[in-house]
Amino acid sequence: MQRGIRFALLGGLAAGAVLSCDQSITAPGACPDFCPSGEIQLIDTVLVGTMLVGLDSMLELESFRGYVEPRVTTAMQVVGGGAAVESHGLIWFRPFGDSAAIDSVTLGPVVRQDSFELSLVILNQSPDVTGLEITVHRISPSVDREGDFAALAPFFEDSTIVGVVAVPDDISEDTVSTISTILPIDAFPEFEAGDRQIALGLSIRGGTPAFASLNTRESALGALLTRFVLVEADGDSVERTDIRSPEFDGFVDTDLPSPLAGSLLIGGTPSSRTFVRIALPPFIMDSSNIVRAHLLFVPVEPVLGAPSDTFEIVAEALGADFGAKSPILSLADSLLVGVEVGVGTTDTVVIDISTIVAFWQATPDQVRTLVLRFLDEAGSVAELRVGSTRFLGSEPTIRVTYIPPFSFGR
Amino acid sequence: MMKPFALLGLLIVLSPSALAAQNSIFGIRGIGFPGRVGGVRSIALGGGSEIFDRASVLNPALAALFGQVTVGAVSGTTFRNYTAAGTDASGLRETRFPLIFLGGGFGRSSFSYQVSVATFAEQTFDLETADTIMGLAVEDRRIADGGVVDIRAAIGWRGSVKLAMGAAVHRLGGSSRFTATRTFDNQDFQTFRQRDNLSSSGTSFSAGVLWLPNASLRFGFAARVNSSLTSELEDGSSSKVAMPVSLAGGVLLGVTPQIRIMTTTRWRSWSRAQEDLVGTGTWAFDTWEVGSGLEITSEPGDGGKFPLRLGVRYAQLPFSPSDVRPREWNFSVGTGAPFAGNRAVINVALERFQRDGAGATERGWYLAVGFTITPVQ
Repeated sequence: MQRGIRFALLGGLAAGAVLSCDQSITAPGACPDFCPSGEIQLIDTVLVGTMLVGLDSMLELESFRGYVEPRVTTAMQVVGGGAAVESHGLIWFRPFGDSAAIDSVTLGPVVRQDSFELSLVILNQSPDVTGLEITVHRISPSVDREGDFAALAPFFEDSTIVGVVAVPDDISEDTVSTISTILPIDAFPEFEAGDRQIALGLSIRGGTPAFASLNTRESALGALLTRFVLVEADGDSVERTDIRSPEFDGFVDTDLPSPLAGSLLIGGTPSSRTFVRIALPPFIMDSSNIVRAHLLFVPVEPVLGAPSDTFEIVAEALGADFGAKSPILSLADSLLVGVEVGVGTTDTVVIDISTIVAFWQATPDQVRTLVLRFLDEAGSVAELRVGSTRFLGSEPTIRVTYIPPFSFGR
Repeated sequence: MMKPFALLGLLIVLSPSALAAQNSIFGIRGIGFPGRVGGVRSIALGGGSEIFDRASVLNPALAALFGQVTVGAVSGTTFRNYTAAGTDASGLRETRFPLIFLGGGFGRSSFSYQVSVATFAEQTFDLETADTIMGLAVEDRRIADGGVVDIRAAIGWRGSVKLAMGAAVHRLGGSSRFTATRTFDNQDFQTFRQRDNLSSSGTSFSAGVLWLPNASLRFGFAARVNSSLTSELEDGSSSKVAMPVSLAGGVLLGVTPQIRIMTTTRWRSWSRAQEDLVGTGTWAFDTWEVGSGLEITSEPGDGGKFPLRLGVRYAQLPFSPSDVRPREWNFSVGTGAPFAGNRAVINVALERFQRDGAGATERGWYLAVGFTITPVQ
């Protein structure tokens, strides 16, 4: 009998426990009468950076230059054709030897050199220019490769031209596009007498302002120079190719006009970054739920750069804030947000920093500073100059959309 | 042998979040939908036996009826639908444990005890709404899961075969988890989600009398006073809502040894909460509840298998979004059977309920199953 009671009891408990987990209560609300009192409010407001939060401005901004040099970036931009800002590409290939590979293990002496083939991987070009050509110049390998645009200008005269590379009109950013040209061996009269190193310059000539962006060795898809040779092998001569990658590449550009005093700089060469310390009012930052936050900057002059070029500006949260060398927080891709900006525009630049602000709300101890930079720093001649809090009417602002605490009907 | 207190503990552990009663659209406002105080037999009898049934927690004097250790529990499943403000909802379903109790005597003394955990008010809902705000299509969802639980310790004294009295101390407790979300159809906007936990506390005292002037007549009376219910959110903000005074009385008449009719009436001064709820746009009303039942058994008294129980109940509901007091009608039927040598009883009740008022109507069925077990002879 005892067992019967236990059996019944445990069976009842088990059935009850299972049944108690079962419910279907989701229903359309008949608001406001049959909903919890109170509404989920949505407030959209624009806060000027000079607004005081406590004793300080809501936004504190400063710019620093010198983060990435155009000689170590992953892209080189060649601009010419009468553009306001011009740039020349530079490539120093690794030296060739007096022998070349016959097979994977054997070298043989070079008995004849026929020509070179220059291969370039193109990233982007002027979208509104057709029939674009990149002119290839011979540079003396011994010249100071750290020289600026003016110092290297003599190597971009007509007399130094050794070839031309045609750029297809249908370049797509989604595919790797390689362009190439043959350079005659006699275009490099000092090749044999010197240390067999080839240095090349790239320019865009003509009367139409245009640009082309190319991969560099830092991208692992840089230019290649192929030497076509005849190599002696076992008393015979065989045709072989001998390939060299760059040991140095980059670009030099003309100086941009000086920025207005107090303006904030993003991009350029070497690259600039702008640091933004944000102190939103506590009733928004600490008590409300921010569903959208936009940082708005007004260019104080048209965006400088290659005609029709576009670039991406990114905002990233900092791990700590101690000035120009503050480390960027690299926790998740979602904390890197960006916006595309076109050269020549004066439109307000709007950067969606919602995910960063949400991260800050979830981690109250985190410094509330972010940095603005180009996604491809020093990969182009472009530079964005925006107003700081000193520019009345053009000062940065934050547009924030937030939901105050919901009372749950209490 | 499983210890009775361990059994009660197990019951509570198994169902901490399910210890609630029926849910209702009329429980969204105020402190929730008031819980029923009766066992399954009482539900089948329309609440008419609430003040006489020892599986009920309305009258502390009923604690005096426990001689041997007895445990009991109720499981109830609600199926309901409603129409309110042009909105229809159907297919809603939830299962709960609205009542768990343990009773027994103190040796050969005339004192007995009863410990129970019952629903005081349930506030569980999951409401979805859609709207356009600032030109944005949004979907809101407001979820509450929990309620107020009434934990009671009662002492009963059986002065004679005709008289029993009892008193109880109650602790109101429990918590509700709240979640509010808003999603936007525009990916530029982050989803809003806010969670909070509301803890409730309060203290109550109750007393009751059971008078049996003869074998076919019983009278019961009970009264209860409650402190304010203090509710505290996780951020420390708190609020108080005055709880009602409750008065109840009932009579049971044995028409024949196999046929009994009974009525229980209860009044509660819920309007005391009005001042505390006015900021939420909620109206609070005093309420009357009247339940009557007919029980036909195959043997005299409480014995016999498969009695027929019929009941009808009318109740006013305390909370409303307007000055119209909602009401509820219940029509019920049920039966039960002893087993394991009469040391265990299982009861079943099926109730049809309809609630109306303040622009809403709610219809549904409530299926309750309960058992009592006396494990020690």
